[in-house]
Amino acid sequence: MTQIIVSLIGGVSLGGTYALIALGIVLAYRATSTFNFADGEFMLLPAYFVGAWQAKHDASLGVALLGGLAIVAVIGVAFYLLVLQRTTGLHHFMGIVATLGLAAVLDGVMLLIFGSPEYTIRASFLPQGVVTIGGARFSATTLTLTAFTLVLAACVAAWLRFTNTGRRLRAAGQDPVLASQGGINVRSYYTWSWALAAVLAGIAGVVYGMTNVVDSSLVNVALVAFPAIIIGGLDSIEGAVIGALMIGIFQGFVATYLGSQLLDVLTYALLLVVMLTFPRGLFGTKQVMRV
Amino acid sequence: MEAQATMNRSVAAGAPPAVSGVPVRRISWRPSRMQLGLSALALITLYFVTQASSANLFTFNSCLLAAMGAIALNALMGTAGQVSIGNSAFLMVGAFATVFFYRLGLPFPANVICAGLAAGVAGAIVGLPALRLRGLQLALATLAAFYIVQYLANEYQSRASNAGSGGFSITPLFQSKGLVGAQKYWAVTLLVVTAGLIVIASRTVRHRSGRAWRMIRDHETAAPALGIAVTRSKMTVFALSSVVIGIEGGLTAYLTGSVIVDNFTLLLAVSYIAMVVIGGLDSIAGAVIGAAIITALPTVVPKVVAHVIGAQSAAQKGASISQIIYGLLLVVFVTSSPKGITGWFRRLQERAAGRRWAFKWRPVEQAAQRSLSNTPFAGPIRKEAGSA
Repeated sequence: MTQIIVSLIGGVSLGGTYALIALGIVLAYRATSTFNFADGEFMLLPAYFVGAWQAKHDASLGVALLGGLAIVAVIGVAFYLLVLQRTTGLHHFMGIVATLGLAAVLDGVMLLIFGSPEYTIRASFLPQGVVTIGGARFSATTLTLTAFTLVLAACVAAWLRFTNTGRRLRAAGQDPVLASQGGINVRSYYTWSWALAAVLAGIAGVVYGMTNVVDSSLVNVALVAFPAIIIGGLDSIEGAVIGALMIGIFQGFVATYLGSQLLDVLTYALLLVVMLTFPRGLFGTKQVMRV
Repeated sequence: MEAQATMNRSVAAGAPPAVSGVPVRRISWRPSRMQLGLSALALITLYFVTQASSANLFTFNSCLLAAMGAIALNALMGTAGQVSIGNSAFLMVGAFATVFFYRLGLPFPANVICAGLAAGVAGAIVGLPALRLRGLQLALATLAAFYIVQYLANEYQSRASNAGSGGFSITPLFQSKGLVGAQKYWAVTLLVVTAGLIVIASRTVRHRSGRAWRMIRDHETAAPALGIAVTRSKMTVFALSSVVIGIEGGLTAYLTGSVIVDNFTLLLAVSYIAMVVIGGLDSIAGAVIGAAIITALPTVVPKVVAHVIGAQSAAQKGASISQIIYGLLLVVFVTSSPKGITGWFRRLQERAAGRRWAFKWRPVEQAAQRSLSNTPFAGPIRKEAGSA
């Protein structure tokens, strides 16, 4: 019983992080039909920034966090404006190739600036101590952060679904020409969605860094969001959040019962199985096979 | 277009005009582009074999090896339009299968060939999802394949006796020839292998299967209507390219003498994509050029940078600087020159032939005259609001 609770809550806490990453990727995908393979770098950069800031100056997480998120948002916007816009009219995978190039550049730049450090991001304002749930002990920090990521993901998903801005954003991605005729400034919505996607990834990175060690392997965490997105159904915003939770819980159980060395392989095996048997995912639309 | 050009040329070469009274030039043989390229490759090899140090020769050999993988990936990605980010998975299968057969006692060429076949089987298995999945989902399937192969290789490495975290070591080929001599022998061997691959690959992509692959790339839904067996073609291209990449993996194991899981990263797979894109999609010469550029970068960049920031920090930062450069190259080529380096040559050629740039959008009536092969990809294109 204790093990089940540990796996479940550990999984949900992972799932919260994945949900933020997956939301960012789906958002950018909905807007510009480009799957962002540089999302891991978008996570790592603010986490490094905050970690380096905290190593130099004491406290003031807020300023560092804002700075890190601003940097990554600017990178996301610049990438959209300077690179992605110019791939219009090319084969779909050229956008993906461009994000792979961006990932290589960001990796190199981070290696130059930060080296390969190991930071732990301190957040002293979060509740400390240990909470016991059903016989299993959890740190209060983890639980708070899990709740935060889940609430944030739900808020963003709801914002995209129910507000006018969100509706415009989705419309711009679905049918740019029609949306522009409806008075929507399509380009600016695309730009903002890349900024938002980068910020979501950055928050996920920093939150992940508060409970885990920040090092270059953080990049791989973003790749785990891909199975989550496929399970949720590629273009579905709610699907991304739900798929992320499912993948998180799946990983929680795998880590507890089968060992963490099987995490990656089983997650991707699950991805293969889902794609082969149920390529639309849970909430995906059928026409999405367009890349 | 290339195939047609070669055909015209050979027809012209085959029947020299015989006008009485005028001395006829007997030999009107003009080398094809492939023959020119192969001779250039042979000359470059000759230069390296006679001139270079063992370190330079090693880099050159790595370039030739990478060229094999790039040619294979080019057939898969450039010609057939199937995105794969699992190339290091097939390299891994090739290298580890070579080690497996090596430990079973198979002699040199046999174990590498068997490893190639093993990689081909793996490629066909990974290709299975390709029958149902397209584009992005296929790319993710190959990513999944990468992680699965990595796990299996890791298991094999940790279970096998006298391997462990240091990986396997096998006796490099031509070890008895000395440090420089071994690399020279390698250069010649790899030249022969690569040249053979170039000949086979260019024949394949110019003929029936190549045309079928292009049709699948550009109009997958229309391909069956033209009698193209889409399923079989996709499986074939996946399996063939994996065989080549697997053989490359095996040869690399023999060149370096060590096989270790940590060397096969996702970044390696991305670098192969970079080779194909920078060189020019659907161009074998482009794949070779791209492979040379990307493989030589980590060696050349630190040397160049050393003049600017000093030798010591160049040694530290060289790797990341070359990574930045190749990422930038990738981004720049995708945005401003999506046909790659061979696209430049083709443009020059077209200019020389008196045509205007085939690249820019032109009015409809002019565009209609343009040959179809000038359109980079007629298939599913990225759409955006554009000027709307």
